[in-house]
Amino acid sequence: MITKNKRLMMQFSILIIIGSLLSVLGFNCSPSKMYSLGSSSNESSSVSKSEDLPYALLNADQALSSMLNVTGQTVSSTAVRNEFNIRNSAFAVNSYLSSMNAPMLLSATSLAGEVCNSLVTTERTAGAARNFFTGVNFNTGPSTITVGSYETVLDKFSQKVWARDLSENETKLFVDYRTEYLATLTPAEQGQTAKTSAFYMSVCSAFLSSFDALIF
Amino acid sequence: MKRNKPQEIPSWAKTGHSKPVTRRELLAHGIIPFAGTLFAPQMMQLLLSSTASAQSAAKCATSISSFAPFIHLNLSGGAAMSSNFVPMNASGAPLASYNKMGLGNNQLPIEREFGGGTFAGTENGALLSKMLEGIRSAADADTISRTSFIGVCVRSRDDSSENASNISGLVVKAGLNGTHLPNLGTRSSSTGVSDMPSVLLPPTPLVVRSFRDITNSLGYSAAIGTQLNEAQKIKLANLVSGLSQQQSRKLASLGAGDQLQKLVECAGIKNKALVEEGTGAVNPVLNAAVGTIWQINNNSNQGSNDYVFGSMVYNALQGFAGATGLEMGGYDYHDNSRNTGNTRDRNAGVTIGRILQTAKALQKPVFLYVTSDGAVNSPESDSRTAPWTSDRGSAGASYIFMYTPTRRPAVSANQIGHFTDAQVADDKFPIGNDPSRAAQAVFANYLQFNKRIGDFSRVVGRNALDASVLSQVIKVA
Repeated sequence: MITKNKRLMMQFSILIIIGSLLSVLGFNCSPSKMYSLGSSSNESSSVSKSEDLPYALLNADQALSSMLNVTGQTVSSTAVRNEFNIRNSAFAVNSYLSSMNAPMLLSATSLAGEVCNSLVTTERTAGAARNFFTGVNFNTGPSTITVGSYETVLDKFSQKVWARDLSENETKLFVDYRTEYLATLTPAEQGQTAKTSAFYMSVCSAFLSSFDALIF
Repeated sequence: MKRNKPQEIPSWAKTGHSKPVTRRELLAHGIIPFAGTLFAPQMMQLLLSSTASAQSAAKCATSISSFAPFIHLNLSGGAAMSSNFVPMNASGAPLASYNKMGLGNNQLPIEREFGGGTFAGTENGALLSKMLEGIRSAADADTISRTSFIGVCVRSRDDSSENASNISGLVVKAGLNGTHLPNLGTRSSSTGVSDMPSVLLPPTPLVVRSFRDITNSLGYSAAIGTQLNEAQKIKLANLVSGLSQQQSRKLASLGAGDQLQKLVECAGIKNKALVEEGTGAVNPVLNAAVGTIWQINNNSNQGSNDYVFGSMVYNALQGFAGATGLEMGGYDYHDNSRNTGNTRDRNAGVTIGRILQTAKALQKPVFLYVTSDGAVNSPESDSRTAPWTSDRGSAGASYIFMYTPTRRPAVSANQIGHFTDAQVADDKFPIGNDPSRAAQAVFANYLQFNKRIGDFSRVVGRNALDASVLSQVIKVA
């Protein structure tokens, strides 16, 4: 009986030792959920911050750099810088996806619009040196935009901005957008070249300010 | 659409580096300074719109928050908070002396306001508390008669943006959300003012340096603003929203990712709704009374401090914005005189008074929290106008003002914690030596003001003040 009790005690002790070792050694293997932010009381001042996601949100500077890089623009225009100056306060100061909100998305699209306006302006007269708007006739109105040339543009942007093909759903959204855009135009506007530029500027903006373009 | 075509080399790949895709890689590259935070359910509420489409409404819609508007005014630099509001000792009696606090001996005249709040009173015909003087200049007697005050005795670090006194994260988690705008702030920091969060990091505030920052956040400008008509802008917002919804589906398979996916979806939906709705509702000058209070009109400089504060306060009180943080600088004013401090204190009082008066004009309740980083010291003197000569965070304090349109909110006392005869906040009191715990006490009173104190532990979590402490710090009846 005594031997049996001793054996039980020994097993119990071993379990306690193993448990203690696991708890001591294991703490540093798990990411801490709490971070002290420098107040006088570590416990009460700690701010809970959980994060295990493999994605991060771009801040304003990163977003602008990304927009310029993927569209092959090395220098931002005055108009882009002006738009950045009035939009950057809407971007997150941290990298948390949970910081995304509607004003941030709106600002990203608006900033992208100016970046894309520069791109359209450059490529409109670039002839064969175009990188995005191959096959687009900027000298005619939107009514002459063909499905083929539009799809070519979409493919270019998808590869350069997202580094992948468009999904079926994304394709449908862009195709619908073209239809909807044309429906907003008067017959006179259908023939205006400026409306073609505006259309492609807006398509480019959508690429640059969608979720996938704003995260790492 | 063509498929299976050879992929072009993306721009980032041309740099010779692989695309950083994981959190660890981003950290390794120094791109991400911190780990992230998730409180998607609260952000969901923040993003929801009562004007969303019917289909979206089922997923994203909510009503205006039932929580009272929350405004935080931070006086950056270490204001003489405890020499405007006069702190009492543990027995509720005056201290033996206030001669290190620029108020002389214990025969200090006390001016009671807001139903019992103790302020430095009148001497030689002039009110010693310039903050109270400023408040009275901007808020009428009726407004003051419907306002309560609580002084919070807490030490804080001098001249520091690291006092964890910010409760906007807690307030958002409790349920305060804006129908049009996120949290607002005036500084590019995690809280929108120069302090640190207590317990919970708030959602990123929209930094308002000009009223234009608010209108910009609700619509497009520049190329899109000029080249697309309103219908086209809405179509574009819809396209971006649709794309982001599709692309955020990858989050659903991750831990808590489904919440984030909904967050992104609702950001897009809200985005479209904002473009449709325009910016008319958020302009404070459209309300004549509010324009008068802040002395602004259609011709005013939208980047002026009055326009910025007026628009932020207006949107907070209307429920268009969430928790709102205002900051006034220049409160590190110990320049061996009393003049600079008095001027700045009066300015702070005017801002406090305007906030309360705006609440009255809009017939909205408000919970106003006023903080600073540290405090000031005077030479030991019987003079009640002794100069400010150095920092003295041990004599720190913060304020709570509560206004309701119907009546003065009832409080059981006008002070949380107390000072000692050493003329410092008592560090033995449970919240007296820690701005973060004092902030929790303020938050508990905010919940009680909203009749939601039962949510305290749920919102604050494991670091919550315990019941015995709460019983000492909750003063809202």
